[in-house]
Amino acid sequence: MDFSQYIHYNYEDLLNDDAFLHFIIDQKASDLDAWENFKKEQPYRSKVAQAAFETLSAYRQQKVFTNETSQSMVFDRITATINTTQPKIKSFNFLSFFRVAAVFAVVALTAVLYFSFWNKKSIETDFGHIQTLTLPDGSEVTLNGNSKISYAKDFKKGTREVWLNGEALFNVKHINIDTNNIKPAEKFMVHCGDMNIEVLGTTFNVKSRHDQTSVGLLSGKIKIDYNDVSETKKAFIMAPGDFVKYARESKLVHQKIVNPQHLTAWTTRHLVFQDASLEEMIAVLQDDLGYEVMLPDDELNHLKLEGEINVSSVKELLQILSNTLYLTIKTENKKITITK
Amino acid sequence: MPVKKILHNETNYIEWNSFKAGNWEAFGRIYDTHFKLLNNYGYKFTRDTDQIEDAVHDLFVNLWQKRTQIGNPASVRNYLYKSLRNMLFRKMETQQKFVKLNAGEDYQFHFEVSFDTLFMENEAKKDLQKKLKEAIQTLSARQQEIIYLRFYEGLSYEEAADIMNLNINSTYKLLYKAIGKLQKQVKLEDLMMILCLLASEKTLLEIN
Repeated sequence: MDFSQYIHYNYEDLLNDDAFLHFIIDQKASDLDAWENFKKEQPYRSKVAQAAFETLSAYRQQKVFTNETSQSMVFDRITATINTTQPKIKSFNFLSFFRVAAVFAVVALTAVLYFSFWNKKSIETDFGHIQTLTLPDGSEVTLNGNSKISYAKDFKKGTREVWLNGEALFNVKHINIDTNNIKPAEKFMVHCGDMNIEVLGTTFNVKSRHDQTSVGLLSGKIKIDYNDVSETKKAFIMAPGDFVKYARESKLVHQKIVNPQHLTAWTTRHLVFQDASLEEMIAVLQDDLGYEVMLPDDELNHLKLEGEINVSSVKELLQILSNTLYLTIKTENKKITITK
Repeated sequence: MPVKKILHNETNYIEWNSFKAGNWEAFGRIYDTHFKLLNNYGYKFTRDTDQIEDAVHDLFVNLWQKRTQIGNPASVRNYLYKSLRNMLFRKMETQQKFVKLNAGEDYQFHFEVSFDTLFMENEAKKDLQKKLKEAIQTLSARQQEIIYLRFYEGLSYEEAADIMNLNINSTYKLLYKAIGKLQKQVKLEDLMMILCLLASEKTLLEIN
């Protein structure tokens, strides 16, 4: 590299010069020799270039964050997500092809029967399987394991209505233009248990299991209503960051969401708990992931783990439980036995 | 003075096409080549490593699922940088909306590099770095990012503009202003002084 071309450059020109910048980045031995020579031969006229060189070199002396320790773990998570959303067929095998085809045929047949009988479309997930689907109107729904969502075949025509059993994260497409004049077709309704959630366009998480429903609102505005209104069951409006829990025949619990990531952690296959009891954790293992948990001593249900747990596998969760609560935990396939 | 850098070999077309055709091993290699780089870049926007990992996770899940629809980017690294940046912003934005729901504040763009002072071999250079650091902190986050992409990653204006979703003209203006500001802060006289110091140290060494 010929550095003598730079003697008439000013400081700014040098910082803007591609060749000069790449000389500093690449640090080629031949260029470095030429640079030393240039400085020796032109001690005064090379001063500005030296200033630019020192500035860039000082700037480039930075700390590097590689996060190397997480590299393989994050890849495992990526693999897991990809495998649950779209099974990878490794090689063509007639037997497995036949099996898949047979399963498809059965599914298709039941689907046809189901639709013609009920005029409703429904999607159901297996234990431990998370699925994201787009509704005909473009709204996105992520279903947790062991959850079911159904909607009318003519979804787009009237009010957009869905029925949910289990847990789902909704990202509803906003189609209302004038908020003072909301047409029925612009509404979006989620029915779960005897609770109805009415929305315009927003993101929220609904969990409806064992006659208990909880709703966490991430953005936008939603209205909660019931099939039969009574003293304890009045319609109300939720604001972003609100979280409500409701069980039939009991009072509604109203909280603020402290950590929004906790609410949607399940969508990335994370198990997150905050000051949770063993009972709550067992419910997730059974309801979402399909484990069978044996707990001979009922008293253990009330054991509580203060603080936050954030793990990406059941194995890790059980490890933490056994270490911190001094429990003996035996696992055999999908059967877990917990004793003191 | 060796600069600590993550070694990087640009992914070639053969590898990229083989990934697009569904080769899982090629996908894994692309992940391995870029994981550290992406984390290093993401760390400039947030110190929340979980959030960076989530963004990297989403980015690669998306990449695999949409592989048949992706074209051939001029640089795979730049393409991934841009996607990570978008992914992180979306995540931070939803989180922000939530945490500050009543404050009504706009989402704050943040960018910060951390300097490595440990391996600076002499006081004069340490001093220069300190001045530089102070000057950089007075710049806007966007200016800091463009300086980083240009002077650390060695990208051209076109490449930096593409990653930051700016047009080339405004990228040029942004960087030009940033350099002007830097020059005002790190005065040329100071730099000359430092150079003199460096030179005298060298002669001292030579005498000894």
